[in-house]
Amino acid sequence: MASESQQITQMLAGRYGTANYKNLQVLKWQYYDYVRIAPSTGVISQKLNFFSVPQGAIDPNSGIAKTLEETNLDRNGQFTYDYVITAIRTHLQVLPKSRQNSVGALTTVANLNVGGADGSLGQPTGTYTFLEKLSGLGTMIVNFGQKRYFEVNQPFKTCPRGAGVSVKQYGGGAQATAAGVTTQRSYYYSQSQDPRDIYRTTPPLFVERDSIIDASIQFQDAYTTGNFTLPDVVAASPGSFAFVNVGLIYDGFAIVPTQ
Amino acid sequence: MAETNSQAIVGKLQSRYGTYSRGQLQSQRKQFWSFVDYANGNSQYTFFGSALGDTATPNLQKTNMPVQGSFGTSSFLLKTIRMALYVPAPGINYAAGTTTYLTDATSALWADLTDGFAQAGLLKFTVGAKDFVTIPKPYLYAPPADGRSELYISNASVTEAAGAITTASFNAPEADLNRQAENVYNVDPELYIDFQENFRVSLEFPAGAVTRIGTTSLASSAGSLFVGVTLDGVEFRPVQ
Repeated sequence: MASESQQITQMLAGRYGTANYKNLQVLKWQYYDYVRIAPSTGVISQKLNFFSVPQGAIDPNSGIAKTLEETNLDRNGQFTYDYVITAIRTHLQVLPKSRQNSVGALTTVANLNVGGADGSLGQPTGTYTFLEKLSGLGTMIVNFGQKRYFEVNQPFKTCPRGAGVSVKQYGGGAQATAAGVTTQRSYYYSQSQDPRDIYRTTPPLFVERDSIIDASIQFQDAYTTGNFTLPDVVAASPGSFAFVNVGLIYDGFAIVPTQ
Repeated sequence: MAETNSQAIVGKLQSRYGTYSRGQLQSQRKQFWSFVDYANGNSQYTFFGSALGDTATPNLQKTNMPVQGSFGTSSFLLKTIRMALYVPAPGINYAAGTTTYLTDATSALWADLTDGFAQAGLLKFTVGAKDFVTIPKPYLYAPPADGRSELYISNASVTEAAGAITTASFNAPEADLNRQAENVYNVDPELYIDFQENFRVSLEFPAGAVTRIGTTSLASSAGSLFVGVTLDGVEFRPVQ
């Protein structure tokens, strides 16, 4: 039962407020949050926290304020609307070239996304093969309040993004070498872009807007600096690892008051 | 069946002072998983035999079982079974295999999938003393089917000597288990496992252990490859 103050507030809100909580509307909605996977050391954080840094606040790994491109979270650790989660996606995203690491000049390197030579993400010991192996690791843990609601193993595989570019053919590039020497084998990694593969929460989960969200991806097994350091893209430039963001996306429906 | 006196008393106390609401259940999609070290091939692997925090399964990467061999205070509706694997060190040195990719079959995990353990074995799911599920070649018939990612590999280019024809195979080998969601192994009809009911899941190779093949980049030593089983379904747990 509502307290006296709540009743007064509701009465005032109903008469003079900007939102009418007696009339609700259901909208298809995504809540998303992208965080940088590693700080300036290139060592992937053992615990990546999601939905804890809202728009405008600084991502601790990138040191850059988040915009609506990174998250649509308005409040620290809380949804703005009552929300029904129907599916979960993750997105392991190599940032576009123009936003890449200035160390190693990855923003201007000619062959960042093609070929298997130095300066490319596709080298045999490069970023893409590293991310492919990383996608087999980690556990996603989501608590609302004090209680655990989701626990998913290998989340980058089990909860793929289910959207994206479908690569048909991938080029090795060209490089002048000595006769008879095999070079330029290159790799390209992608999560499943097939929407049928996304992780559906059956039954759906209703989350009230004031619930405290504690969502993370943790790497608990064999976590050492050696195992979890992103490789340099340019051999002559130590620290020239690629900038990679990890996104956690909830699909579902927001229940919003009419205005 | 009528409750005994002691059950009724415990029930009353529990409903008044207990830490959860007796008789009220909450349901959610849940996966329980268990991974064990493949090492270099055993004739049997047992899953879900140790709980989170035990020596063999110290962290969530290896299992999320609350207790060994049962779902504890939750009951579980088993809907699908998925086999899985992982390599614990993402910094695996692919370069160690690059010199042999074109010439032999021992440079990566693909050989184990196309010509190794993934082509053999059987999976048993036993509740109490009764086998409820038996799947031959489980890595083929109960694949991860979980939206598995892709690693695309380009052809290699070879610079030929003037006037000579170089013989080489151009594609680097790569394989993965079946990842498409529609290929999942459905337990049909679904299987309901009550709380605190004991079950056992094992991967067996009764015709003989299958040793690793692709060992140039990925060592066959203990700790380099983990195989596992994921049980996917709906968990019913008491409301707190």
